[in-house]
Amino acid sequence: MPEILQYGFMQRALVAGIVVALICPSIGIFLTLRRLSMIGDTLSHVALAGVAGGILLNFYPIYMALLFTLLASFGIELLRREFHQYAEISLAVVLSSGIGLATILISMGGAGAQVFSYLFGSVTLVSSQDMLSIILLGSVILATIAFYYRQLFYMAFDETAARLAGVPVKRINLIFTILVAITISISMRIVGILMVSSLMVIPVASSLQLKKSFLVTFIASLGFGLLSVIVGLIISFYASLAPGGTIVMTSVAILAVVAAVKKLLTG
Amino acid sequence: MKTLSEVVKLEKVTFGYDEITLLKDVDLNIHKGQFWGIVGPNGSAKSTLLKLMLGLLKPHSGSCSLLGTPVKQFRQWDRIGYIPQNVREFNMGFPATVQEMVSANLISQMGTFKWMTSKYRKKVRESLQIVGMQDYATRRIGQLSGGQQQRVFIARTLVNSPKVIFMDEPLVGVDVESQEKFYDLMEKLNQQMGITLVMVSHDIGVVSERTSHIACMGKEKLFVHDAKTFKPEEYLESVYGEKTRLVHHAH
Repeated sequence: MPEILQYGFMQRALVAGIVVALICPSIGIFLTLRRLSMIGDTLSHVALAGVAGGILLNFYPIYMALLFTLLASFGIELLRREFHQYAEISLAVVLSSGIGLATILISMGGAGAQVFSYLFGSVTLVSSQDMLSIILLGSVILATIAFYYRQLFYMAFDETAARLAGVPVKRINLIFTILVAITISISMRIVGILMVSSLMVIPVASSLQLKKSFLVTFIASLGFGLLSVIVGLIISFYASLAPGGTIVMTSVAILAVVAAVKKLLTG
Repeated sequence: MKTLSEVVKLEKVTFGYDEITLLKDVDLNIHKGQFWGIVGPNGSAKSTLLKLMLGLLKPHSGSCSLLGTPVKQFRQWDRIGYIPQNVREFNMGFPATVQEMVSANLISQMGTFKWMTSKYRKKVRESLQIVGMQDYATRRIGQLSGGQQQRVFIARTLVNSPKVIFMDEPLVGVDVESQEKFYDLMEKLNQQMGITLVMVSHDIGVVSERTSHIACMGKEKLFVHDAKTFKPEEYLESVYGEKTRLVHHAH
């Protein structure tokens, strides 16, 4: 067995990483195509406040982050109605509140080091509880996406036409927002709060370069996500670097290679 | 009286934004098999009228019904085809093939798990054949010309065997030759397949030649004409003033 697989923590990190590699792009592709990628960034700032709150109250940080991001996603929807002509204001308000609250909670608690591991991701600190939560919630996300795949595809292209084709747009929007909140909360353990949204967007950006059908684009984005996470974790292990950084930089490298190859092939 | 042949019925519909009234006490009956053109100058609430018919907007007062059902309670979306105005502004890089785009409309027919069975594949093929786009099934939608995209969106409505198709300015950005093909296709859908058509357009000249009925948007009102007796020149005069004349293009 290669050295990397001999450690229990590394096995847990790889299993959790594979789940994260699959859920981030499958949520990210719909966010990107609907030009909503900022929601990922906004909710991850809120997740930081949840983590800090969880550490302070001695409550499992991932579930606390989940609670915070869910509340925030409903807050975004409410604010969006209030400022319907300036949709991005609702994101800015929620993002600022999240980071503001996080700063206060962190400075109250003195749990800096622990917060640090959530900010940049961690390999060694993935507990069995983390791994099980990630597998369980990750499976729920993948199953829901598979179930609503056609509806989400139609809504990404044209929400009005989807509604008139019988897609329950309001309900699916709500379900999707919940999925985004769960994805961020469970992915931050591996890739870090600051980099979750990158893993949602960059593998999708690479697969969009292929200019294929939606199904191929979707599957390719999962493939690019997996490659980024596995290679990133291996580098993180051997070079003792935070996995968030190595994973995201690997995905950026993949994007650069795909774009370069495409340029060479098309002239 | 409610009859089965009534596809759209508006009764005393009033609608506006803030303090501006766009439509006041408007009545309209569209019957099965008719081809309606809704014409009027820019900003005359043509699209608004279409959205009211489809329940995308709620009237301040009055009632709208679709295929005999109040539009609020209407659920038979597989019997309605809709091609929105913004369809031509879509993201040309959107990763979807023609067949993926057309099969999207099958959603209301599919079972819980939305499997793409051979029955549905056949429907997609047949719809693409009707609009003459069967050879483009695996092309990406962004690679097609405006006219071809428009035909794909029509095919998308046809997978459901609709009773009526609503179109909002379908010919903006489509070249003249494709426009001719488009109207030939409309004639086929309307006369051979018996589909009722409702089309918003600003091109009064062509619409009056090709449709069976015309609804002209006036100030807060709607004027209904039989296309055979409709005089576009008179209408233009009433809207834009006496010196306006209809110029027939030399193509």
